Amino acid sequence: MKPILYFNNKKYKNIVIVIIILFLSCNNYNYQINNIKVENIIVLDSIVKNEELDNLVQPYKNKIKDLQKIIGYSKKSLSIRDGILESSLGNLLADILIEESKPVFNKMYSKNIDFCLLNFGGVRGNLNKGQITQHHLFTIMPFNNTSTVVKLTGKKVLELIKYINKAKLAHPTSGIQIEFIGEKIDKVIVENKKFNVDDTYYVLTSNFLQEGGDKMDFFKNPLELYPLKTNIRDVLINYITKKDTIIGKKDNRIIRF
Amino acid sequence: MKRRYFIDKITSSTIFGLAFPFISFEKIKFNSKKITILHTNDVHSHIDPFPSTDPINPNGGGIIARAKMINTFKKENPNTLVLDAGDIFQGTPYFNFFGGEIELKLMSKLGYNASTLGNHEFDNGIKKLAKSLKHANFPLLNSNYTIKNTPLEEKIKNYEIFIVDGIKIGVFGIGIKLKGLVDKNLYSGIEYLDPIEISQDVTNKLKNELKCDIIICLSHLGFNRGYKDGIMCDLILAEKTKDIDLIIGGHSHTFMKNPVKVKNLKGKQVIINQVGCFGINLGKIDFYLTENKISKKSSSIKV
Repeated sequence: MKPILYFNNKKYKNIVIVIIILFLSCNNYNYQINNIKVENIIVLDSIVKNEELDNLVQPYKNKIKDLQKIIGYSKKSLSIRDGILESSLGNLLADILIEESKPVFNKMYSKNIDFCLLNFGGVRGNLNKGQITQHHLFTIMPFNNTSTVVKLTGKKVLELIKYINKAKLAHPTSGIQIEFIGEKIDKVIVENKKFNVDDTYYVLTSNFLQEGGDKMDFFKNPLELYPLKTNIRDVLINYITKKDTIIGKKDNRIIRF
Repeated sequence: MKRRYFIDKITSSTIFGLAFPFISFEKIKFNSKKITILHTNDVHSHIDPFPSTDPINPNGGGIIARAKMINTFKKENPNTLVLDAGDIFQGTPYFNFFGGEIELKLMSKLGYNASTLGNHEFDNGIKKLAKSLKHANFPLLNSNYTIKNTPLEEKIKNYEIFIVDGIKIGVFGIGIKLKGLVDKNLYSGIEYLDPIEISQDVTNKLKNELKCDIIICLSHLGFNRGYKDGIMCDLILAEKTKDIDLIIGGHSHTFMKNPVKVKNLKGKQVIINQVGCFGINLGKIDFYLTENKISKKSSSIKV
């Protein structure tokens, strides 16, 4: 308690106040960072219990428990990240979507879908080997995107191919084969026919991408637009439920030499 | 009592400074403090852990394991902030069916102090986002979206100041350009402002007006994609601004083993850290601070 004496002592009182004022006005930053330590830690603990959080989550979980029903089986674990310009999961998803959409589109408009392009960023999870539930499909495709068909000029399709060339991501495709040699577009096959820039093409995609999502601007302002309005995830769920066992694999449909 | 202790400390130390103005203060240990920042990003509605059969992250993540970890670190150091860098929403049926309610309730229970707006926060539109915010007891921060005259007005703060163990910590949020990422009808009325200009304004205020000791940016710009083409990302933000100490990143789902250190416009170090996605990892950053002796010494000499 000794320093208090200074404060009580009249002789020091003024000087102390001046010092305090100076101290407060000059001392801009009280503390400075001396050292920073960073650690990124894996969150992993399967045995820990927490009743309070469980009680909070349980009512929500109960409402969506039907999604845990098994709808099919996958022979292998599939991922969107297991290739360079294609992937096992991307191929499967695009193949299912085009297979299911072709008859619908044909029946509605008497026209034929040529190929399908979705986006890498729209596939958010892996499909594990074994049982498949609806819940899995929600984690793979959480977005409520719907299928859409656009009629594009060959020039716009060329822009699409250049986009794939530049993006260097495994965007899911079906019905189109592309070979790049280095940065050069070497060979493009659509529906077993050589791509012709003077032709027009019916391309299946999602409403999100058609509106310019992921900067796929070639889908904007198409020659013709046919919103099929079916939720893409529902198409996948129905297909898997129908087929029971599914196989997805890479087949070099988009490749760079 | 606290006030008296404060006066005690000042008088004794300043008198000491008066008597020995040229003494090396390095040898005198004043208060040194430790502030811990725990952080996540892009959790994307992942509440349950990954199943034990998952080939990449068996049993990984999960809200309960994260809660336990946060509590343990808080016990180790009560002077802790828990932060998140956005994309809380979208990724599991919890979001499709309940619109973000459960995610925000759980984060509130876990003691999160602040988060920011990721692009997926807009997946159900501005109105529903604004409505869901009532389930969060912590602020969502953003400085570079114009939210005036939208339902988010007055619900999103520019920045928040936390005083932890006497240390003033300024936290602000920066969001990514929504065009091309989000359906334009879902964010109508919001415009994206240049992250660099806005960050300079906000940090100037936090540093020079509000005298923050630590400045943290919760960024949903993504780490480095587009860096070569000059497209805005955390690396550019760090290099082209002045007073950010730490960028907690998101959006690019970058699993960093070690944080990235960048020199800012002043040549000062900025740390960028990001922990991937889905709550698989938790970032832990310890700031060690000491009293700034230089300014104290100069004030003593002046007297």
